[in-house]
Order: sequence, then C-alpha cells, then structure tokens
Amino acid sequence: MILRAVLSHYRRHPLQLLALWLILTLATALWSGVWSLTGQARDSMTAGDSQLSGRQQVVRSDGAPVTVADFASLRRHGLCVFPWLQVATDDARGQVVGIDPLAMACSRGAATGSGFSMDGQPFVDIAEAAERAASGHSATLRLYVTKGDASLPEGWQRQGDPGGLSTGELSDSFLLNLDALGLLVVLVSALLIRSVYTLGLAQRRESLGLLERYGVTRRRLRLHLLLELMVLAALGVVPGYLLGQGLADVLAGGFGAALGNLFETDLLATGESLTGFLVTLVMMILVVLWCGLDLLRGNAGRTRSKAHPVMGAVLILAGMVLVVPAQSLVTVFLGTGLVLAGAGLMTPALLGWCLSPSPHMPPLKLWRRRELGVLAGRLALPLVALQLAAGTVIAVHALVSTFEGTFHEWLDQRLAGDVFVEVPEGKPLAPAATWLESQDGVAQWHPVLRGAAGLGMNGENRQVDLMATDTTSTLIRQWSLLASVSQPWQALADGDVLVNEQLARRQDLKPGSQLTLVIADKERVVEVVGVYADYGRPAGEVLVDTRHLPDGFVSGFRSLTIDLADGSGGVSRSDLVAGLEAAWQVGSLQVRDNETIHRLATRIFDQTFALTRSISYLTLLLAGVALLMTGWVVLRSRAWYFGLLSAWGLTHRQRRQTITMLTAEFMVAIWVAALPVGIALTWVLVDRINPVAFGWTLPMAIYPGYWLELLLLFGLAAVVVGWLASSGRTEAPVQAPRLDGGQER
Amino acid sequence: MVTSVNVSGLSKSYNTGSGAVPVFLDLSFQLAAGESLALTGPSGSGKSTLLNILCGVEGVDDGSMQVLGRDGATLTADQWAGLRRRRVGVVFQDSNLMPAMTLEENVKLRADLAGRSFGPVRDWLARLGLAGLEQRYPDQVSGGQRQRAALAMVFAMGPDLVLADEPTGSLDRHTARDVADALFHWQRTQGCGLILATHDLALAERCDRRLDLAEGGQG
Ligand SMILES: Nc1ncnc2c1ncn2[C@@H]1O[C@H](COP(=O)(O)OP(=O)(O)OP(=O)(O)O)[C@@H](O)[C@H]1O
Ligand SMILES: [Mg+2]
Repeated sequence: MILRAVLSHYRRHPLQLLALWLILTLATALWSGVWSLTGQARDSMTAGDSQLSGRQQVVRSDGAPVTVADFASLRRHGLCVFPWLQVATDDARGQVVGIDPLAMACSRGAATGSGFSMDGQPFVDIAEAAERAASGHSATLRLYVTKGDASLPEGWQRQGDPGGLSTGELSDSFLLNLDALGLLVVLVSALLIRSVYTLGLAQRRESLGLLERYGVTRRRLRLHLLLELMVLAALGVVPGYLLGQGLADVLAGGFGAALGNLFETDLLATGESLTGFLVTLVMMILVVLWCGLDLLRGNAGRTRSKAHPVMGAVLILAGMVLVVPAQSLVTVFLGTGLVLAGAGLMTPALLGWCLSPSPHMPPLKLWRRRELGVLAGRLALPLVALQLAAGTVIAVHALVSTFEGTFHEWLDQRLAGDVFVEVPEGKPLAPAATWLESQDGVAQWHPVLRGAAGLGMNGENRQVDLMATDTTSTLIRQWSLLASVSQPWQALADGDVLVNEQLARRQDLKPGSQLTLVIADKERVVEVVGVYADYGRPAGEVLVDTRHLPDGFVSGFRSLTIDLADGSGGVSRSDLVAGLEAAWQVGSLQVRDNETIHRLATRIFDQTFALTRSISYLTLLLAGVALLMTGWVVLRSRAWYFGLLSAWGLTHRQRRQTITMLTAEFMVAIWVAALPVGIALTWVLVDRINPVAFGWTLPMAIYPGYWLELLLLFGLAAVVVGWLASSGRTEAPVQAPRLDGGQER
Repeated sequence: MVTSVNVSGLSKSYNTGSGAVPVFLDLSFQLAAGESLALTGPSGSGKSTLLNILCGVEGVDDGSMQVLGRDGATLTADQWAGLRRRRVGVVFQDSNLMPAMTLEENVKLRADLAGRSFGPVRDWLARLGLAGLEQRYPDQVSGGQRQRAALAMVFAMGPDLVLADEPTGSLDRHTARDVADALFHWQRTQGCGLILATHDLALAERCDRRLDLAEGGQG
C-alpha cells in the first residue's frame, strides 16, 4: 500500500521513470562497453605481441658468440633459456634448426609448434643438429628466453628488436589512456545517475512529506525508496550490459580484424565473460548506494548542493602539486582525479560568480543572468558531468590528432626505403655490397649496425643501445629532430652523436651536452648534437656514424635498408632476395616489406584511435542526454515564470529568443568551463602519463577548430532545448499549474 | 463616456476530451475609463477565463470586444502582447514576481518592459510600505509584501487598464485590506480601469460595479 503511494509519483510522471531507467541503462551500457573494449584491446595487443615476439634472443654484451657453456650457466641462473642451433644442410642453401624440447618445456607461451614456426625450416632434435655441426657444417647457436622473463645476469643483454619497430610501447600507451578514460567514464556516469535521481526526488518531496504526515515512518519510507531504486537499477543492468556488449562488438570488430591481419591469426576472443558483468554490477551497486546514502542520511531531494569553491580550489592545487613533479602513474592518476574533483566542486560556483549580473545591466539581461544562476545551482551535477565529458572529448581529440600526426611521421621516417633485410649472422657485408653495387635496379642502400655501448656519466657506466649507420645517407637525413645544434648531420659525420628522446630525458641530455662513449672498451668524449623521436623502443639509444666505430666493435644485429629504383629499371623484390641469398650463400633471409608493415601498423592505430574517439563521444552523448533530461525538468518547473514574460507583454518570438538566449548562455558557459579541463587533461595525457610511463612525450598541441565544432554542437542543443522550453501552453500563466515549492529562487 | 472595455455577446467554451464545455454564453458588459469592476462567481464560473480573454492570451468563440479602443477581433497576438506590455497590467493571486530577482529588480524589469524610467521605482516601493526591503528576494518577504511588490510593478508600468485575478486571495483579512487600499487609491488617482476577479464580497463591494458570472448576465 505504501509502496503504491510511493510509486504513484511515477504514474503521474512516467517520463521521469523512463528517464531514470534510461540513464541507468545507458550508464551500464557505457561501463560494460568500455570494460569490454579495453579488455579486448589489451588481449589483442598481448596476443599480437607474443605472436610477434614471444621469444627474445639473448646475446653476450661483449658481442662474442654464445657457446653451450653459456647455455648451461644461464640455466643455472634460473632462466628459462632454450637453445636454437641453426645448421646448414648439404646443399648449402637449406638449413635445419635444432631445438631442445625438454629445455622449452619451461616456457608456457612459446610451445614448439606455434612460437617457432618460422621460415618453414625443419626442426630437429638439438642432438641431431649438433652431430651435423660436428661433421663440419656451418652452424650458429642462439639462445632465447621468453619475453618478460626475469632479469639477465651480468654480461648478458636482450637482442634489440630488429629495426626497432616494436609497436608494443605505443600500444601500451594507448591502453593506459583507455584505462584512464574508463575511469573518467565511470565518474561521469555516476554523477549523471545521481543527478537524475536527486532531481526526481526533489519533485517528490511534497508527496513524500504528505505520506510522512499520514503516519508512515521515515525509516520505512527510505527503505521503500531504496528498494525502488534497486529494482530499477536491476532492471537497467541487464539490458545495459547487453547493449554495452553489442556496442563493444560493433566497435571492436574492425579492430580485431586489423590485428588479425597483421599477425595472421584470430586474436579476438569475443563474448566477455562473467567478470565484465560482475564488475558492471558492482559499479552499479556502488552508485546506487551513493544515491541511497542521501536517503539514509535523510536529506533526500535536496537539489541545491552547497557550493564549495574554496574546497575545489584546494583540491585543484593539491592535484597540481601531485601531478607536476609526479614520477609514478599512480600519483599522476591520483592528482588528476583531485584536479577533476576540484574543478567539479568549483565550476557551479565559479559560473554563478562569472555570470553574476552587474547592477547597471538592462533588466531583461539581468533576468537572464539570474535565471542562469538558478540553472547553474539546480543543474550543478549534470553540468559538471557534461563539463568533464566535454573536457575528455577535447583531450582525447587533441591526443589522438597529435598521436596520428606524430605516429605517421615517425613511421615514415623509420620505414624509409623499400626493403629491409637482416644480414645473416656471421656473414660479412662485402658480398652483398658487391652484388648490390652491380644492380642498376637498386637506387641506394645502406647498412645499419646495432650493438651495445657504455655511457660514462658522472663516474658510472651505463649500458645503452647503439645504432650505427652511414650518416650521409638520405635515408636518415630526412629525420626531423626534436632538438639539435645548427649543423647536426655534419657534426654527426664528424664523429659526434645523436641520442633518442628516452635517453635524453633520462640523462638530461641536450644538444651540446658532452658524454663519454665506451664502444668495445674504447673511450671517446663526444658531443650530443641532436635528439630524435623513438617511439618504438623503451631503451636509450645512441646513434653514431659507422666510420667512427672502433675496430673491435662487434655488432649484435646488422641489417640493410634498400631503396629500389622506380619504374622499369627496378629490380623485383624476389630477384633482390634471391640475389642476396646467393651472395651470402644462405637458404633464407629475413626480409621485411616496409610498405606492408606501414600499412598494417597504421591500421591498428587508426582503429585504436576510432575506439578511443567513440568512447569519448558516447560519454559526451550520455552526459548530453542527462543534461537535457534534467534541464527539461528544471525548465518545466520554471514554466510559470517564463509565462510571466508573456503576461508582461513579450511577444511569442521575443520570449522564445529570451529563453533560447538563456539556454545558449548556459551551454556556452559549460563549454567555456570544459576548455580548461580539456587542456589540463590533454597536458596530463601527453606530457605526464607518457613520459612517466614510457620516457617519451608527444608535442602538446591544441585544436581550437575542434573546440568550435564542439561549441556548434552545444549551441545546437541549446537552441533545441530553448525552443522546446518556450513552446507549449506556457503563454497563459493564469492556467499554469500551481508550482511545486512556489517562489523558488 | 470613454470606455475602457466594451464586451458584447461573448461566448467561450473549452474543448475537452468529452466535447465542448461552455464557460459562458452571450456575455456583455462595459467598463468606463477610471471605473472599477468586480468579477464574482463561484469557482469554475469563468472569472480567470474572462481576464485571459481580455488580455488576449485566450481566444473567444463568438461575440465582439474592444479593449482600450482596439478591436479584439483584429488584434494580432503581437499587438495583444504590445498592449500587455505598455497599457494592460495583470496581477495574479501569487507568483507575480521573478523569484531570482530582488523586489526592486522585479519592479525595474516591469517598468523597463513598459518603456518607463526607473526613477520612481524606489518611490513606488516606499509608498507601498516596502522601504528597506528593496534588495530582498521574493522568498525573503511575506505574502502580503509580495503582493504589494506586484502592485508596485503595475504602478511602475503605468497602465490604462488593470486586470487582477484574486490579488488578495492568499492573504489574511488585514493584509488583504492593506493591499486593496493601495490598489484602489492608486486606481482612483490615476483614473485607470480595473477589473478584479474575487471571491471576497467585501472587496467586491469596494468596486464601482459588480458582474456576477454565475448569473451570466449584465453587470
Ligand atoms: N485550459 C482549459 N481547458 C479546459 N477547460 C478549462 C481550461 N481552463 C479552464 N477551464 C474550465 O473553464 C471553467 C472556468 O475556469 P476558470 O479558471 O475561468 O474559473 P474561475 O472562475 O477562475 O474559477 P476559480 O474561482 O476557482 O479561480 C472551469 O470549468 C474550468 O474547468
Ligand atoms: Mg480563477
């Protein structure tokens, strides 16, 4: 009976019930969607990563070839290391690979069949391969560990990824940003649910008070309200979850396809299981409890939240103090959370203050300002939610645009040249060089050597990666440097060095800095003449000219980047590979087609960008819908006063203009408030999270053109709402229903 | 005699789901300039409806009317709005003030819309006994004070005709008399027409004439 009385409110306001249910459902959809997308993206990336490089070669730091004794010593060190003995076959073009199934048993990820199914080489037991090697066939022994294994003992290092094109770190950066976005989505939607709910409660205050006067105890009333909310939430969770999954599947479809293409395998396990649902459920329960907390504390339906501008400012300051010098991600996230919370607390009051009228304003303008103050107070929660959502959209757009530009440029630089060939272990460059020189179809080529170097800094010796190449080559001269002295390429050719961004940041190196470079135990003091971007690799790297390498230098990895001549004179790829194989007398070469890699890498990231954008837009949409719904309720409650304008002689058009102005000013104010949030979030994403997590940063850019687009969107929403609010039978205030609460300010 | 309002043969019915419900049929009356008329009748007899018709926010089915010399049949919605803005003041039972504005700002807004200067605004408030309350918001003053502020708004706009719908309906007897005193005093000195809908017979007595809508006849 009481329940029926409690619920009777919704019989008169079915739209409100629908709105509450809708917002619960949409929020659930967004949570489960984001959760599932992030999960899928992470799975895909991890799967791709292990497919591409589930194993990693380890080499001696001194560059000497590894021996069976080394294998044994690494094993004793507790590493899951396994040998790979490559032995030439009798016809000198083929080879067999000896592996040790027993040794590989310790590695879960890289099982015999899948992890090593490369090059179509026959695998044999290592004992058999060793026999062949003993009988005079040329052989190379390599040692592998699974990626992510424990640290290596002194004197050992992991072989760098050939050519440095690991997209893993970029992916990690994006996953991290996706996680941050997910957190924000939860925050924003929780705010929205609460705002729609409290607004509804405010309207029911009178009827609830009536029930109380009829003798229903306050406790029972609250219990019923809580029950009602929980039932509604339960009704929203299931369809919301399903909607979110559907959404994620649609969005992720292309993403999985692109990744699958790159790694030639099915990667996406669709149909996120129970965990996703449980997480969504738990979040919903938390939010419902948050709403219910007010009920239990007995200030149900108090819409006018007190302004806490001072508290907000304190939180923002505290957040800044945390974020600016932050060295860990947790601190960055925490600080950002504080800043956002502070912005949320401050905005309604700040808006009220900024929009406070001056005494000499024309009265009608003053009226608008005062009504704006009312709106800002009553719509504080959805306003802040929309502000944060718009800020997020701005930040995501800036990040993605910057990322896109930078990434493409970087990829272009790194994948210059048509073909990338790995120089077989132990083979000299000379035969290939001779053959390449003789080919008219080869426009230009240059070798790249990779190895290790020591960096003498303040008395300590630090290992970094070394890249050596012919620095007069056009293939590297087109790189755009992040910072440099005036003639970097000349200086480089003369023996100075370039460093990558990671190293520059870690060691605080700038163009002009001196450092002691130790290559093959020979020390040399060099000047840093420039810093280059290097998103693909975590390690610090020094770039030197090949001619300045000391004699004892042993490269860990050598490659050739070859540019084929255009048009009819060009040699075909297969001819090129065959020619090089013959020159080196090997059975098969590791050849990479730069264009394909470029295309695929671009596709992965395009898809990731699209994903991030969709999530931020969905959040914006949700926030927008919530603001429309709550705004609608508030505007309806002002209908009498809008009607007064008509009674006082404003024509229909004038009244419509005035009200539309009001809603427009409100939306523009939110837009303005969203800008600093957007810029701050962009800065955090670009300038804090990336350097802290990955050692490099992206140029910070803002996109005012996009802001204007967003403004247009906001303006459009304002016009629609203003039009709706000024329509209907508000023209005859005499007929307007009595107001809830009367003379509300 | 100059007439403020001239109504003849007016009929009005509302269309509801169950067909047309007549409110009044063939209603005729006149109001001279400077005259006051009390509209009485039981609840639902059409007092508010008639006031709405007279200020142009409600249409009629039949009959003719002149308001301040303008023919109601030819006035467009915008012309009606113009009349309300400068020449016809409206007072409701309550909620006459914009809640987010102070009393003074409310009166200024009304004066501004009517194209009057702000000069006498404080004066009006003071004369209605609201001196010192100018900077209060409507929810910070009593109901009687609110209604007096509503009158100040009407006075500040300087209309030729005032339509008041139970202006003292939510006030106690004593306060109601104060407000009515102010209204009648001003109306007589300004020579302005007044039509006042009320349930309060004492208040109706104070008007020059009375039109009882239940009887549907002439005043
Ligand atoms: N918009 C409307 N639609 C349908 N019927 C209406 C509408 N407005 C008023 N009515 C009806 O018209 C009749 C007259 O209403 P009105 O408000 O004019 O009465 P009133 O004399 O002012 O009553 P009260 O003294 O209670 O204020 C009533 O029966 C009412 O139900
Ligand atoms: Mg009435």
